[in-house]
Amino acid sequence: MCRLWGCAVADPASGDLPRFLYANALASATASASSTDAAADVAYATDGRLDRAWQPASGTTHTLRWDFAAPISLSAWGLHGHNLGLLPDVSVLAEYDGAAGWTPFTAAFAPIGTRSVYRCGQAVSAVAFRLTITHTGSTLPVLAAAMAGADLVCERGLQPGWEDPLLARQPRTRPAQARDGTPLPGSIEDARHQGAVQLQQVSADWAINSWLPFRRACDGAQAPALFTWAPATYPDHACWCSGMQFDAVRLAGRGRCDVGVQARMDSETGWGPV
Amino acid sequence: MSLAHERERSAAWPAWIVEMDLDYVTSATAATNPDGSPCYNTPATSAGFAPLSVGTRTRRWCARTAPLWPGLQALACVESVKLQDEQLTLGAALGKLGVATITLRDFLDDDRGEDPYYSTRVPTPAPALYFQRLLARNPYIQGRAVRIWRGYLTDGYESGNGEWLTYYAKSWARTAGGQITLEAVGPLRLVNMDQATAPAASHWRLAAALTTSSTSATLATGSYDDAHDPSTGLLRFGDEIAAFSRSGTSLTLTRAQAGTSAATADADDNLQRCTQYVDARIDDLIADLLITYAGVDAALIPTAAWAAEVDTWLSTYRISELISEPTEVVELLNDLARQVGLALWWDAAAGVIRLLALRPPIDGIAATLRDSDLLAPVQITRDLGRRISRCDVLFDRRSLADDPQSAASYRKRVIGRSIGAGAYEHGSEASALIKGRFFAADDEALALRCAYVQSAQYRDGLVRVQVDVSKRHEGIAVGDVIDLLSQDLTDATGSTPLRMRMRITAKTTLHTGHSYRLTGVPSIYGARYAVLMDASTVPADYAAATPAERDPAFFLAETTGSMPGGDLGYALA
Repeated sequence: MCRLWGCAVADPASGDLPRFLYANALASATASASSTDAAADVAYATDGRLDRAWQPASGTTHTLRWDFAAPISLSAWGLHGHNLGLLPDVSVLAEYDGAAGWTPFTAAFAPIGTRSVYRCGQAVSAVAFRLTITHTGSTLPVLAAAMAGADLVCERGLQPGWEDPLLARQPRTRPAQARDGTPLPGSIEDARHQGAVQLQQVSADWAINSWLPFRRACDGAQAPALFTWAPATYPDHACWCSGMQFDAVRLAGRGRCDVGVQARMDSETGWGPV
Repeated sequence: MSLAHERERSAAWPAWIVEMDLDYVTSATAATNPDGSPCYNTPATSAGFAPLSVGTRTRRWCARTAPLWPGLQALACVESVKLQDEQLTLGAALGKLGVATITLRDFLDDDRGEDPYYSTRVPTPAPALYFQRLLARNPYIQGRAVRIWRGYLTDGYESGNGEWLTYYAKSWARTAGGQITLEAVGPLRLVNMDQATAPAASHWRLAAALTTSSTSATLATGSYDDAHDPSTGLLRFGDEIAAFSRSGTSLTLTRAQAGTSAATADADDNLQRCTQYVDARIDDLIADLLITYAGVDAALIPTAAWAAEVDTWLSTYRISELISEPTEVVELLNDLARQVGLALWWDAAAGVIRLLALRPPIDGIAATLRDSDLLAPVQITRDLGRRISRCDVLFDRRSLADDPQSAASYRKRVIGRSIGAGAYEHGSEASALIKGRFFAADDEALALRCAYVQSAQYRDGLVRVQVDVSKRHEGIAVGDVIDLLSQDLTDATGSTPLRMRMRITAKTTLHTGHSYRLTGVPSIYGARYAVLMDASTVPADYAAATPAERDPAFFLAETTGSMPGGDLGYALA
């Protein structure tokens, strides 16, 4: 298990704070796509499940678009369970429509080497959001989970010495040895890891107004979330959190609280062998 | 890659897929039932569309730790699968029946994949917990097929990198933490749960009283089913058994059959139809009990394999028995297993019920386990509370209407030979009594065999040998015979390692895809049994023969009486 923990004093750095994206505005939006395979509905990209996915019918440029019934606050978007890294010359551009036409929300990039994408931008009001995927070759993109909305920025920064969850990604193995010392075939127990985020001495106001809504949305109901722990420093490092179990909010004195959550953190879940 | 290859890999990744067939309405329905309630095409939610045609729809779930498998259409929600295989009790009873416990994690679902009318619902259904909704729509799951794929996905999913195990749903429950526990069992466990009886309880009633000399009777109105009830057979009222032939409501009776005396009966008395077997083979009798009375699918019984086992080892048994009271099928099977000396169990990998006679293990050795194969020292336990030094067998019931569980119902008693009770052995007699309801008056030889088998098998109590093995030997199954060659086995001279041949009676998973605990019972047959075979089918030289060829083929021993390598020599039986 790896742990991230918050420090008791304000992070002096440039606000490179861990963030959770859990309230998916795309789920209730009207979705459309430039094309859709008959068995891979565009709604599958926002249903919170990883076992089914959107896939276009053909082509090398694909657009996914979501129109909101009312303007939403947009500060982050993310992807998980996709094969974009396998597509030649791939590029993903995120744009929003603030009622004045399409504007880039984050710069176009190639999601190579990561299957969990988390991108942050300046918070804006949007009536529509769209992703444009371009690539070459005949392999078509597959996308199991897309999220966008106002994400939760943790109040505290991280102390030096924090452990990157990707370093804890190594499979847990169970070796076997015969009683006479002969090595026997062993097995992999789990290639995922159980991660924990513990934020200490956050303000009570933040705990009540920001953390508790997160907990209500994801605890017990098993709603997933995307998590990035240093989006400015490590923009390609993020993970998909499921099975979240929240610690009780503990009063730490002086009007401050300790909060925490444990989750199965998947950064490699994708299509095909890991 | 193959399953054998995965079992040899130093770090293979075990995983599960679980499939479950739930009832699904295939006839025409609509989004809303006539009464206004929503229809989801399950029998419990489809009202007013009669007649319903019901098929099945398969749900598929896979391990949460698994990578996504394109095209598999499996929900990643399986937390764990614990398999407790069937445990044999050789020559004693049906044994302990196995169970698969599947733990599933519930999750929010939009219902798009479950509700056939999702796209027409107004308003759009709100997300809800998947299993809670599935349970509400499918309240009756017992007996529905559950298939479990146990395999490895080190390089992605390939069906051949695992094996499918077949079970039937027993129950499911919601536990704390949003988890669903699904229990699935083999068909023998369901027979036990259903308390099926042979014969089935009869609904026939007399319209009028019978005297001791009446040769006809009339069935009370509404107590019979003309289309399905039999036209001939035996029936019982009070302590009398009578033969009948039926035409509509009219019965013609032949009184006082099967050693009983004619008795009177009152109007409205119940007439219990009897189950009769005449000169029946063991395999036919068991199959009939399971299929006709317990509702087991005939496809689950490998008729040819059963017949071969019975032809070879139980051919002298021909059972004539009249069962005049509804008796639980499991009780009958237990009695039969004990008297005949056999074991029945569910083989989930093959999807069939196995039948094994208590006999020498000459059907091939599944593996020879050495210390380099064992994860821990060999454990040997002896339950002396189960010791039988002498077994007596009662047989030849006075009347087939008599209680088979009462010793007073039998005319004859075979006194078993005492084994292991001498002053310098266990020192006391530990006797057992078997009530041989399936043995007729002239079955004394069979009763003697029954008595010997019991005392020979249990002369030293119930001996169990436990070994822990890695996934390399994952393929060893309940019922297999293995040779154990370990330094933990020594004789009086202290020579080691010693070889022990045993039949596997239980298999427990210690860690999925990693290690297993095998429990076996040493063979009571000290000699090495074999059959004479055509020399052209096996090598002439013992040393050149494979383990599978060495048993049951027959080879001549060296002048020492042993085989090359010190193996035990063969005996002719």
